Amino acid sequence: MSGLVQLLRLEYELTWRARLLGVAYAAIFATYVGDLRITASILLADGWELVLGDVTVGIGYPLAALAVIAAYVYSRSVAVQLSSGLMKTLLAYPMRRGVLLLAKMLLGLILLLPAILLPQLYAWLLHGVNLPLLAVVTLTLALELLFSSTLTTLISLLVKDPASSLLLSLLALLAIAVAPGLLSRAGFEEAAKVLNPVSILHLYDAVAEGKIMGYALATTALYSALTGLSIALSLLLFNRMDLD
Amino acid sequence: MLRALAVILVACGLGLLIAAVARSSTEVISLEVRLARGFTGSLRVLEGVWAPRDVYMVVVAEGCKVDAVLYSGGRVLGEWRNSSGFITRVSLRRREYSYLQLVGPGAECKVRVNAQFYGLERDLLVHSAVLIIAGAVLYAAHRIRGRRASAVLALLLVSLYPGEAVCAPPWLKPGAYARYRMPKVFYVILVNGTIIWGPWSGNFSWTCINVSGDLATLLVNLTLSSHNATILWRGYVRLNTETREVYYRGRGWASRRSTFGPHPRREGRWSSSSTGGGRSWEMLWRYGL
Repeated sequence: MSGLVQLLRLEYELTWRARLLGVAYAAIFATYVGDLRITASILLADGWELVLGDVTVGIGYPLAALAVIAAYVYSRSVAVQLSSGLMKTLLAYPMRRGVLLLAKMLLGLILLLPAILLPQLYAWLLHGVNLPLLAVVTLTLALELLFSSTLTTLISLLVKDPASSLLLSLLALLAIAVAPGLLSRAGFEEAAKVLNPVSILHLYDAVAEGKIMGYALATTALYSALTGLSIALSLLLFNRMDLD
Repeated sequence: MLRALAVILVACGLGLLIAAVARSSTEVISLEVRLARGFTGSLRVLEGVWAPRDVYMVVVAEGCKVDAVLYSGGRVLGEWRNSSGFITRVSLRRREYSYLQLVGPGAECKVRVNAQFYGLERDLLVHSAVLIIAGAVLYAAHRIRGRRASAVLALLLVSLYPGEAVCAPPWLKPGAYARYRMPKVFYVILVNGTIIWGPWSGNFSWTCINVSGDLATLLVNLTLSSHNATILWRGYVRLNTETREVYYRGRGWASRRSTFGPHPRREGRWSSSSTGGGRSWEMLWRYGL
């Protein structure tokens, strides 16, 4: 256990540092609170549904910020350490390779989950806490964070070059972000809804209307499955990787 | 750990500041209310939690005259009686439950309401400043360890204490006076709490009789008249020049800001006009020494 803590601390020093952490928190706070535009004038008496609508429209910027941050951090954490040979030094720790990779992902989650929660808590405390909505938005952002980070890790393990892996990760995440719009224009409305991470927010309908939209569950399942798949492929690749 | 926490606090404060600037664009809310013939009840419009920004509001009643009251957090911010329209500007200090209450005149008419929210949200600005300052203090504590840290922390906390720095107005001397003319006052609240509806018009004046330390003695004259009644009131009141509290017969009598009106901008005599507190009465004043 102390070895894992030591590894997390080392990973923090090598990849994160306070400055990067600060940029991530500022970006997520600014995009989230800045996007909640409805509360900048009048939050109507029956406004919770409108807030949900506003979150649905405006959550794009925090999602994009999270994707960019995850792409930068994980390409730096994996590709830079692979290309510089630092990964080999880290493997000198008496730990399995898989644990090392999972520790990197775990640290990102530990450090960025409060960044997701804080602006939401602030916004909701300003207007009254709606716990189900808070939970649903957190789930959406956390799934996006996990998906972006695992996909970037996989791409970094494949490419190994820091700049290329960052560029490819950003392109892949951008493609996934614009895909729902393109699918919708091509007439594949249902597929677009399922691919759009914002659909996860409609899990809140279970509280508001007593029923869950099918595509909300499908999107949650899809992003969870893609995250799991990325982790499995990354572990497989990293375990078989020749680092010499 | 402390350093990371300090950086996170400063980052959240900066993020909030950026968000406050991004949200400061003008938000316009327009609506039209149709009042049916025979409707004499009250109707709330723009009901909800208003952001603490400046609000420019235009209300136009077409084909009738309505009574309108603007409430915020249970307080009356403005009141318009038998009006065919008005323009007002209010500065909201807190995020509070607010609404505009319209009273139907009984005739069929249309009321158009346009509210423009502009400027920065005050609460977001304050919170961002608090976060940035807290982060900076923590960072300083991280950099300066031990006893020196606690001394610096204490010094910072003391310097940040929002104490009041007040002083008595230098122009308030025996003989100083002010005359106010009030062309239209919608109601008068007597000392015993009775409200007498107007409209009234009249004059209000005070003359400084004596200043002793923080206490000034003022002779106050109030004359109000409506079409069928007149109110005359004359009395001595004591004013605490530091806190601006007014006492009449030993009891607290008026709120802090109600005594002087605006401060004179320069010495000598001058006059101006103002629409105060969102109310539609006009006040002309003249100071003399």
